[in-house]
Amino acid sequence: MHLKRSLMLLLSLALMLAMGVPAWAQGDGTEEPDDHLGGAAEFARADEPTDVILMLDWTPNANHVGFYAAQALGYYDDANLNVEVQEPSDIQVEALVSSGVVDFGVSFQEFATYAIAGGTPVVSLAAMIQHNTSGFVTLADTHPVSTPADMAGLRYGGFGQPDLENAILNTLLTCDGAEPDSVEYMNVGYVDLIQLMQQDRIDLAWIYYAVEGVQAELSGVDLDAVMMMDYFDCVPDYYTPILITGPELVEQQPDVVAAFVQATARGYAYAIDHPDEAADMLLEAVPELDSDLIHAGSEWLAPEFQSDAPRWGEQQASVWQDYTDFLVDNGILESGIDAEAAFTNAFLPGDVPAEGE
Amino acid sequence: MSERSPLVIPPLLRDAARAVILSLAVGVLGIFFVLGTRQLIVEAAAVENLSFHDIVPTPIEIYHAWQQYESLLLEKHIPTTMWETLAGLSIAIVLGVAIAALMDFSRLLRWILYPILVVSQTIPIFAIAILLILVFGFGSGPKITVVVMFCFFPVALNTFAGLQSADPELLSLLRAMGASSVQTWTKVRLPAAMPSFFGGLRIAATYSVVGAIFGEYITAQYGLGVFLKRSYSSFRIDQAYVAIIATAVLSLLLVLIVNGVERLALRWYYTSRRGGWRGPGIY
Repeated sequence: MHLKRSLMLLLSLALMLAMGVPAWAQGDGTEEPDDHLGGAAEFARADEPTDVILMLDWTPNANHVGFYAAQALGYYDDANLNVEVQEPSDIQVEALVSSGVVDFGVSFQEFATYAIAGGTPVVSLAAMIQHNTSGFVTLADTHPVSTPADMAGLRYGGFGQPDLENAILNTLLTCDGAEPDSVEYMNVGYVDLIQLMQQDRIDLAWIYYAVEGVQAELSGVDLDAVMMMDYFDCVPDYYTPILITGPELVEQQPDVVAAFVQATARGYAYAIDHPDEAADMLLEAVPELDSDLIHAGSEWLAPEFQSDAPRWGEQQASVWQDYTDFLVDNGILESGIDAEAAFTNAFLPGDVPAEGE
Repeated sequence: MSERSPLVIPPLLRDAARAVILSLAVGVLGIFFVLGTRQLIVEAAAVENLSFHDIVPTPIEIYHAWQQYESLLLEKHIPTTMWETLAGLSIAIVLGVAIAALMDFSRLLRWILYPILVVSQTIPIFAIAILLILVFGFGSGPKITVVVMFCFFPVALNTFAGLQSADPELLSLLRAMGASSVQTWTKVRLPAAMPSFFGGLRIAATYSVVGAIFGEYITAQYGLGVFLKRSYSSFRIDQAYVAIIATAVLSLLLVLIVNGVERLALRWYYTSRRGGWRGPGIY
């Protein structure tokens, strides 16, 4: 009886494999342009099967499609990894990563910089999106803006870091010839900012265009935006979001770090070329998300993930240096961090010619 | 009493019928109240040019959202939340009664424990989120702990008050008859504490599901809290209301179960009261 049952199990397993393998091979077989992966054809594997925990920055969204693509396409399996995804709220991911409670985390250059400056060492392994895709937006009908100077006199709905937010606003305003402190700061926390603007409680909000901006477009709300990427001479570009880990894991299990980063890179490479399919993979894993929003966000981000970098994830020392300088100059940090130690490109797949920075 | 009623209906059945009729009446009234309020707000919002519809969905939209995620909710999210709730509530009952007994047992312990109990209720969950993860990891441990933190307090305090409320005359009578302290406890104090214990348990049951959702909000794979968070971050208010209503229904169910258990356990208490059984709580 037992023998029969286990035979049946084996048989069904074999069937599942037989059915699954062609689909998997097909997914892998589509010619993947190598330039996302630094020309790599082989990818790192963990020395032994390893369970790792990835902690996102918040609930899953279009920023994270690469992780879910890597999971769905078996890239993590190939890398000998079993990845568990956690979605936190209001937790310092940096502290959990630094202490080794979670292995990898999604953070932002600003928070990672604060963490390092505050004695919580983390290492940035990849820039998930090559350039800052955030921006300051208003409702086009009520408060049209085209340059930062137009923001003067508006009420800004902030998320609770007035020092940083005001520094960035004021820098943008002064660059454009307007008076600093001419934007009224209102702390509104993490809420639906577009809705607050529609209710005339705030006029100006700082959003991730791939999330709130795309959501506004989908619901037919016309936004005017001052995008950070148009003012990098003024406020330096910074990586947001980034993939981080703790220095301990880098030292003790570099094979696991390389395996995870490279499998993730493959996931993002896939998402860059197949935003629609990657969005479906995310939705398959997290069906509660809004399908239109994820598809539109993934579509919007596909050209942004790598942008003009030689491969996905590539980071430059100058970006880390300029941003820590910006924080110090504006009195947000007392002293800067060691930009070279804050990140590494060493675990990314393939090889690219060194930047002439 | 039974002479007056020509039909002899078993009391338990009569009580149950009354509870059902009352629940229905209150339910219908509640629905009218909610719909009326909603209409008022819609009109006020229209005057103020606010997009109220984005804040509160229509019942039909909520129903469609429920249909869309019915199997996921019934198979994953609700069982997860219920497991955490029931496990946490059970631990909270044991812990609460134990603390109450300790406080009743010794004046010194009372002095030590009381401030700790109060302080335990002032800790914001998010402030200790990292600690919870460090100690319990990512499983159901942190969520159950949050439920326990929400629930043990009313149980402990109410049970303690009940233990203290034992009839002093009865106690001195037992002492005069040479009863041991264990006997006084089991025969007078514990029974005297039962009604307020159930009062505390009812409060605990009311908060327990929300406790689990708070715990899941920190981070989780499944549960109504995860569903709620994902819905909000997808700007899906209709989905969020599914979670809100499910939470309300589960909490209500738990309270009704507590009432039912109290009914069975404390029949002696209420029947001995003047005016007969009025049932626990409101109904």
